[in-house]
Amino acid sequence: MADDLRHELVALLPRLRRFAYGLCGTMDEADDLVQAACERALLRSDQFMPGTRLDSWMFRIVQTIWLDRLRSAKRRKMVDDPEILDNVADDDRIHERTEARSDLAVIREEVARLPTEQRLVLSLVVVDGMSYKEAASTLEIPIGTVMSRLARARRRLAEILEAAPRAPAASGKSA
Amino acid sequence: MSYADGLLSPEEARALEHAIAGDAEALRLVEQFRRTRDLVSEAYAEPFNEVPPSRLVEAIMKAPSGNASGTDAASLGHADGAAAGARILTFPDLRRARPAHLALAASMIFALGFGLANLLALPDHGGRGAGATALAVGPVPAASPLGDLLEHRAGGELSGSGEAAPQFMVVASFKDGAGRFCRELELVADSQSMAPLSAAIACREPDGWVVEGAARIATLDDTGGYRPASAGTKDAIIGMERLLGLGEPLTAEEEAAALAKRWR
Repeated sequence: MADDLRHELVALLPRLRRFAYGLCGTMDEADDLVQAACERALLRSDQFMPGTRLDSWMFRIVQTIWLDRLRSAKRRKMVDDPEILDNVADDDRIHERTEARSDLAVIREEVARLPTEQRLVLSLVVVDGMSYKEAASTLEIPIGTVMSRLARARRRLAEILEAAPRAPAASGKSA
Repeated sequence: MSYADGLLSPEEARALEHAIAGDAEALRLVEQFRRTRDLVSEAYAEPFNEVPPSRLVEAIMKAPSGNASGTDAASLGHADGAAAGARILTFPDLRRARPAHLALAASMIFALGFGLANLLALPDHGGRGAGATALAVGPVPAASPLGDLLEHRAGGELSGSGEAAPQFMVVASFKDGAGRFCRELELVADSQSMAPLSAAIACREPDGWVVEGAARIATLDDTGGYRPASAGTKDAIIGMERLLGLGEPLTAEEEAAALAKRWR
């Protein structure tokens, strides 16, 4: 019954919001994305395959809507939106931008600048806590692709952290 | 990276540690992967520690459904064939070895929902993020208050220091049929009344804790009044502890030893 699906979706909300937060970079956008995904899931609940995982199905819906929105924004030439900027390795600019930011703020800012496919894998594995295998199954890509995208994203973040100046309130783990 | 993420078996991890000992570059890479995992996980932990906004919950409860054929609750999200409603086991059986001062809910007959986990959310009494009062089935971020409690705290300790806010507490630790460590936890209304609001079982996977199932016991109304959950929130429930094959609760010494070994 649809009521059961509604309860399942509400139970999944913390995970869906965290995943969407990883993709969008702000909680407001993440909540809009999660709401749209839940509404679409309810409308298409008869497409859910019994015996398969609801969380994977929902993560795929979130992913699809997020990618649709990015493409739509790009078509409207909203090139000043950092969401759709290509990954830019401009160290001077990064230094300026990350000055006096905490490690966590730097991380959120830089994750938002990663290529979309790296952000997806990072959000599933590191933010949500899925295994590489589960992420591969959810994204319907080979596990080796999951690992290479994840490694590239994390090496990039590590480089940024090592280069960024620290705020006084930062974690103190400076390289 | 698999090693840094805790995804290797103990044998594989030992072999890798041996192979990279003294290799400064390899050790630096492992440290990089660990640090980025910890920081990214912490950077996005906020939604897990908060009650979801009511507008989201309302949108889900009111959105039109296109479900023509009916979606069987027992099949949702679970491919393991665990049919809801088949077996019910009550918690008093599970809790017989609990310390007496923790047995507050022992007289309440309830069971954990495996197929139908409710969102265990409370009115936000403690301000944003303060109470950590939402539970969801699935992985628990290591950097969250709940992740810290499960990994590092002994049974009977509360997750927060404030007295007025709802807090988590582990009430018993077990080993399951697969050899994993599992911990039963409760969300209590405050440290004075210790009135249980919800319960859950989380199990330790190689890469962290996963909430396997959860159930609401009671809610607090707007005035802070304690309301046992209605039958409707507890239906379609199965004996999750039996499904997991949980054995006898660990003694305090056994729990302390498992804590010291990080549940390995």
